[in-house]
Amino acid sequence: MKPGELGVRFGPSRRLAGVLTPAHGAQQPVGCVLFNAGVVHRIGPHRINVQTARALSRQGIATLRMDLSGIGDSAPAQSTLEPRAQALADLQAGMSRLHEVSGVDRFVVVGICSAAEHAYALALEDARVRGILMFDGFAFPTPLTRPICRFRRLLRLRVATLPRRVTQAIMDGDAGDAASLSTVLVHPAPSRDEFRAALDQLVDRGVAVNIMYSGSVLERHSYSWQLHHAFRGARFLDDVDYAYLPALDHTLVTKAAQREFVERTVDWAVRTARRNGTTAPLASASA
Amino acid sequence: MTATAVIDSPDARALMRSVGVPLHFGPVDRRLFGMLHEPASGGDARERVLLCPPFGQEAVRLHRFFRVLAERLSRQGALVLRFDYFGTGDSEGSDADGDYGGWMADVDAAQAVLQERGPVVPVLWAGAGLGATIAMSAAARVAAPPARLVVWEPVIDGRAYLASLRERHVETLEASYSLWDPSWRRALTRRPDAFTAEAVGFAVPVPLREAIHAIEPDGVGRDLPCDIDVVADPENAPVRAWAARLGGRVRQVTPLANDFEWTAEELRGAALVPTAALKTLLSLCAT
Repeated sequence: MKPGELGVRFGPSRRLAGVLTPAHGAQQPVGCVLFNAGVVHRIGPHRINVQTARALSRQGIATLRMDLSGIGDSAPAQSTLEPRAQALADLQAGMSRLHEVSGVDRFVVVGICSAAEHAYALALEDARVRGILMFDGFAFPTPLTRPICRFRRLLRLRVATLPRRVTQAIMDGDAGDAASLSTVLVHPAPSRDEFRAALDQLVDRGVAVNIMYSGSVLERHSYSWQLHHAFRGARFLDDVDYAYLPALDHTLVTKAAQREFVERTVDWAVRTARRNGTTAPLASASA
Repeated sequence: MTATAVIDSPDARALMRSVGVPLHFGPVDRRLFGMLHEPASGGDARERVLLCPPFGQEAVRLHRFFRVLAERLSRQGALVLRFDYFGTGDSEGSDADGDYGGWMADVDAAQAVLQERGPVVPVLWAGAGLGATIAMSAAARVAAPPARLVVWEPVIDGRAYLASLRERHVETLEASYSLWDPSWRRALTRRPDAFTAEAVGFAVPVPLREAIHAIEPDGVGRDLPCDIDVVADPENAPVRAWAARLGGRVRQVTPLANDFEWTAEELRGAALVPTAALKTLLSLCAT
């Protein structure tokens, strides 16, 4: 019988909540942490974290899907940390819990929307992070982004509603310059130079970085190779996984989008695990 | 991994009583996830409450509401169990496994958890949306029915509910993708079989769809073994008419304006836990 999942409380005073999914079969040397996208509890948008965790388990990767302080089933924090620092402390507690149960001490962290920003910050702060996946995280428009966005919108117009929709299509393109795609958090997004330096640092450290953009953020990311245009000549570009996926939407509403997200995530996580050495021994798992 | 979480300090115990202890229950091939909230005082429970979540995205949207409701009830001395049906939330299974009869059995399994714990005090079930309907169906069949049921916006017309899910699915697609596809709405209007297999991010397998389709006002609540309290929007004439036809089993119909979107992907300024709804459910669930 395959090992079952386990609901856990952990962290300071066990205020945090999560569900551990053990590796099925030979365990890979990295574990995976999944957590909230915005205010959606740990199962993720349309249960994508559950699907991802179970698919990773079948590939030998143990996961913890968890709620950050004050979200889902986790109690509010009692510390005075500002929200970003608290989120990182929570995620570090999650990695430690997963280590206690599975024995792995290296991790990949998957972040959707606001979670992508936390994953990015965590990777810069904690050397245990060996991979981050950022889905609709920071975006960096180029001079081509808005014209392509508007052009693609115009192609979709129907003649009968043309005047109104032309106006709407053009107006929708003027969405400002903020790089963060999250509508939940207000942390300042990194500048291009900061992002470039951070990504260079991460890939130099051997951190696997996966950057994906959905078809829901056209105003900020509207074509393949946009990342390469935004960071022309940057060193990190040769080492990151990057994809513009217009068939997927921001919250993965369709089952087809969910399948593609899970497949891409598992493929990347397994490749990352293989880059991180030999299979870890199965821990004597007890919660 | 063991089947239960470890609680190893007085502080942790006090916290768990308030925010809930994760647990797994049910048959080996149908493991369910739940959160058990013990009376915050640490004393014996005055009542036991089982919360039955609605379907799909509605369950995601109401997760926080149910958590807060459970915490408040625990502070009032109740033993409360929240849980996920098989194939939903953190329970085992995939959404493609969803079936109405199985979910009725899941309510029975959750009831057994409550019966195993605490003193012999009345058990009350509270359900929302399709969860209310499932609870009514299960109450008529289980060996130990609840002492009372609270049903909030129950689904009494399965065909109308499925139609509303199709509509919401297309609205969600249109809102989520930057480039909506006009064929979605055309298909919704012209092809009755379009958008029936999934609803706002969750699969609706054929057996489940057929079971929901068979829900009719005259059949819902017909064999209830206990009294019920009905909570419905003042403008929800069908539910109010249904409650009137049920007659003596209905203790009261409490008006509650439906001022938030149950399948919303994002809050868009709406309260995560609507105050009026919380007050209403709290007053009806307390004995």
